[in-house]
Amino acid sequence: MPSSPDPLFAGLGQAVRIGTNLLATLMVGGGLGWSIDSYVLPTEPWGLVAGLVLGVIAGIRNAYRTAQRWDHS
Amino acid sequence: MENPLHPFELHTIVPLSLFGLDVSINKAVIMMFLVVGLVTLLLTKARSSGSLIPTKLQSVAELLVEFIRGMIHETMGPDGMRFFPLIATLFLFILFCNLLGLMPGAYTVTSQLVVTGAFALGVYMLSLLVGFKIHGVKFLGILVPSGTPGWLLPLMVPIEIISQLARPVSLSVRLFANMTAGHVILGVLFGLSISGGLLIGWLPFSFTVALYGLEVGIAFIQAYIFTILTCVYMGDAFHLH
Amino acid sequence: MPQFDVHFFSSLIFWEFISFGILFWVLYKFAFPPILEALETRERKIRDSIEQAEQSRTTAEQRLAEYEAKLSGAAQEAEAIVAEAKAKAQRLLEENEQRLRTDSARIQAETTREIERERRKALQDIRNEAADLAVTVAEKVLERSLSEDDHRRLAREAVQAVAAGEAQK
Repeated sequence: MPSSPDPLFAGLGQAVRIGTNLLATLMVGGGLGWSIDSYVLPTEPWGLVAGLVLGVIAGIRNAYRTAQRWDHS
Repeated sequence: MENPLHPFELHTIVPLSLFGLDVSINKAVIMMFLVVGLVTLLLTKARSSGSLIPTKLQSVAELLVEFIRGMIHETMGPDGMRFFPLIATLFLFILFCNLLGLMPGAYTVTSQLVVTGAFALGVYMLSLLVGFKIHGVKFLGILVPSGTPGWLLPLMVPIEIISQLARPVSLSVRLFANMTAGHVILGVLFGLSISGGLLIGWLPFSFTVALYGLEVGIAFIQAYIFTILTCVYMGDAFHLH
Repeated sequence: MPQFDVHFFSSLIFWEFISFGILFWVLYKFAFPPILEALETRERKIRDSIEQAEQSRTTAEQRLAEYEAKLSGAAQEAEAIVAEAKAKAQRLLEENEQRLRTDSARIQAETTREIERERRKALQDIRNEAADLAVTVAEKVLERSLSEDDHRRLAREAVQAVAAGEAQK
């Protein structure tokens, strides 16, 4: 096994990370919005919509951050 | 052809109950025991020679230790070595769950979302705990990215909350999905090569062999990703901005 | 998907934490410390030997430099000695030559002087002899005694005549 700063290993790792992260933020955003709609405020379906939008933004932001770190390293 | 999801089915082997909680032994649990036994055996054997000129097993163990140490140093700094036993155990446990699951007839523990989820949540909670312990209430500043203008705060804080909550989700889903997908594809291809017979069965079979090698690589990479992300989250807790 | 069979969740999570805990404890207690220590010992040893090698190298280099300096110093010294000897020989040679030259010049001059002196003495002797002879001859010829003044005058005239004759020669 290579020691940690191996470019292939790290690169593969980061490439795989970006996709799942987008999915995860979308799921969390949607889930939070839906929960607010269902249990906290009578805002259905706007909580879900806002949550999904914020989730997408967060996912893109994270991907951008990962890519940036990739650039710097 | 058999259902490709069949290998993921669990059956209670030894029914057990603890304070009303069902803790029955099943195939996945047996695999966990195997992993614990194997890792313990390998690593205690690796250190037993203890001489300056390492044996092969010792070299591998030391390579592994150095690898994990490198990850910790890179993400958390030398202070992070406090967490070395935890990070290393996590890596070894996940790696051997992934690898042992590739043995024909074995069960891949990490293809269970509850298992990966419990790990991810545990690790994430620990990073939060460490963050609050080091920085106190100031650790909530992790929700405010540095250099955010005030009027953007109502937007940025929810986004950061979602990013934070997505951490354990993506951590667990990634490992679970990779392990499951790999096994499903392997199962389907192998099924094809069996049903294809000698005439055309060799084609999917050679794919199976190639994919098997790929799956071994993925087993390593996924264990690595889970571990390095744990280190990154811990590192975020260490160094607030 | 069979993975979402809630029935197994409790036992999976329970045994996951138990096995992880056991593995963590065992590795923490028995496996990691010796491996980390062996690693650090080896790293320290390697670092030490590299340092030592570096030290020996610098020492050797220093020695070499010293030796070379010494060697070149010796060569310089030898050169200086040879040069000095050469210079000395040259000087001696020149001195000798000089002395010989001066000596020969001096001897020559002395000889010349001596010869001159001898010549003068001889001349003077001849003059005196001639004067005496002239006086005697004149006395004999004239058979008369001249005054002392006549003698002198005649002698002087004779001498002058001789000298003139001599000069004319």
